[in-house]
Amino acid sequence: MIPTRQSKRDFLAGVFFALLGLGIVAEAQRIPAMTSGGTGLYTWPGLVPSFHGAIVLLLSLALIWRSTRQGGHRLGTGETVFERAGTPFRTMLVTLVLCLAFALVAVGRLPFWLASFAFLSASFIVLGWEEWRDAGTTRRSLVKVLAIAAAVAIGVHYVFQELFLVRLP
Amino acid sequence: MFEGLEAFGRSLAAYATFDAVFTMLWSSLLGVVIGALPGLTATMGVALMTTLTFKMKASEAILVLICTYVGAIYGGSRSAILLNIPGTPASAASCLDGHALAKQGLAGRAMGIATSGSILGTWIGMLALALFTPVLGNVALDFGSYEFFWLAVFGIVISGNLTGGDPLKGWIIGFLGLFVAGIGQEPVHAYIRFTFGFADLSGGISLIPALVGAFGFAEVLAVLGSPKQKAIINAFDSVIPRLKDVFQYWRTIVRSGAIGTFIGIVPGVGEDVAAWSSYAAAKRFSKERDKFGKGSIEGLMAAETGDNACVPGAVIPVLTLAIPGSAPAAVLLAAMLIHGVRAGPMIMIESPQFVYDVVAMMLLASIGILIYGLVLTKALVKVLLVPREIVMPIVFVLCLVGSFAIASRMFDVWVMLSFGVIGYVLRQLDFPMAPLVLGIVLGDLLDKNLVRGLVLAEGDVTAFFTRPICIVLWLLVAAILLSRVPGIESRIRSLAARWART
Repeated sequence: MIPTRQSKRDFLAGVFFALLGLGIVAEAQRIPAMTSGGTGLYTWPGLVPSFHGAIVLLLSLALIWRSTRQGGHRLGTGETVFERAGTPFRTMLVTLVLCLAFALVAVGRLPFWLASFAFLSASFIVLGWEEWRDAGTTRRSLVKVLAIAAAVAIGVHYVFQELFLVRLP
Repeated sequence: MFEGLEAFGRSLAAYATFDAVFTMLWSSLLGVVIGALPGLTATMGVALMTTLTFKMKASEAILVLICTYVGAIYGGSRSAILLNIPGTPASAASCLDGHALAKQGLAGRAMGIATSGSILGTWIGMLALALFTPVLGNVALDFGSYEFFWLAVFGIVISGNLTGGDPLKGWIIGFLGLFVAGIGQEPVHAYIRFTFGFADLSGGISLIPALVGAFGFAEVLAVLGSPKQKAIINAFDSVIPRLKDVFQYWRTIVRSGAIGTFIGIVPGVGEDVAAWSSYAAAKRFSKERDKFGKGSIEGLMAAETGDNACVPGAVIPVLTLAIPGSAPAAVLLAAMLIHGVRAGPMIMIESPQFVYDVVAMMLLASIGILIYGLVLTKALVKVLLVPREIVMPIVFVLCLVGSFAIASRMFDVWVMLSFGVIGYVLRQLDFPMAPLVLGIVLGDLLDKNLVRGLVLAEGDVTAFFTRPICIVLWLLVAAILLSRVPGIESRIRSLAARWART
């Protein structure tokens, strides 16, 4: 049987979650018993995480078993585990980088309205540039998206901070 | 009976003010727009609105959230009909017949059917909310630690079983959700677990930032990481709902409303399962079965009635057991806690009027969707045509604000980012998100009640298996788990097929 991409993904996910379940159980064993107050072992703070970890481990082993029966453990045969990265995947990665830069670098260092204006402008331009170039509307689209970015940045500031008295970062 | 009607009358009178109607109008509008925009889900809408309503009075804030919730579930039908893209997962079933009708030049009629189905579905669910909440509330008074423990386990098992295509993955992610809820200080000894010396984690992981990440940021990444679909909108006729459609399919409406409400009551299942189940039941009992998928009015009516009936249904366990019936209801529950509303078994004793307030809010929300169903057509089409490259970065800004605003700390933003990335990866691996959410909500309930039950029984685990409600719950859990064991599953399928033939 030639393993499918799904069965390989399930196998890898099963291994990951089995290790995670095992890690949870192992870490829970390091929690002290706390029996000095006269309470029994059943108030042990590691009990519930051990219970969850053990169930995750068992279910993950079932996932590994099922995917192995479908040939998912033969990672080198048949389809690749991940599809070849195309344009949408690259777009997602660019978005992720922009979002992380906004949240982890700009926010807190710049006033929120300015940080969000910069993030929105950069995102609109990066994500739309190719389409504008192909359609020959670069300049017009640029003006439009800068106006939208400014309106949203000021709008968010006004609605949250001034109207609903919610603190912004 | 009459006491209930009297209480409902009082609630209606309390909300018959200019302020309440104005609040209903803007929050329903926001809900409809959020639901209509592909990629923005009801869960995310309700989570974001929770932060916006943070400083409001509880009665006003819950009205905003319910109107947003009802509006978003209805709004999803607009993009399903016009673009063949479900605005929310709940509207996926509406694409089949809704878009087929649109292609025949009947998009207006399809939107009218969606409007009437959604309103009637909300009313059926609302009636159940008014009638069953006091009854279930009284039953819930008999629930002790043992029953609540099993209810939490049952919630995860049924949610994993019904949401997404693979129960095994649903259960894994559900139990991980339970574990995530236990990070931080535990309830008996105040011992700090699984924080690895990271002080911010000692308070635990807040639900709203986690949800905004899993449903908001993950959705932003998923939408922009998928191929672009060309939006083609056909010309449409009148959107005014026709009474003929309602009278002709009244049986389907009542059946779908009942199915939707029931699925709403089941913990953590939600509107998408309600819509598909109502659709499947309508097809099974229809005289026009061959029209399904090709523009069946009955099919669209069933899906829309089912998903909207699920909304009040999902609120019933929120109010009576503090257990959400769907992902948006989980956020609603968190919002109630933030606003000091104590949902749970004591609600019919401590604040029975609040139950009828929620019924009145549902009625107001249904009026909201009627208004926007009639007037918000051309403007909404323009909103639907806004490119996703513009919408999604704006959504991310709102996600960031939404996760920060509750506690004003950057740690919650990091939680949102982490859950967003994890949520995106899990979606790519076909892991459903609803059990994760339910796990995070139910984790504390399970933790406290397992330990409390063991303390009460002095470590004797048989107490968890011998009380009447416990027996029903653990038998259900065992039956669901066993029904998915490969050998047993195929045997059940062959028996069901044999039964269907006879």
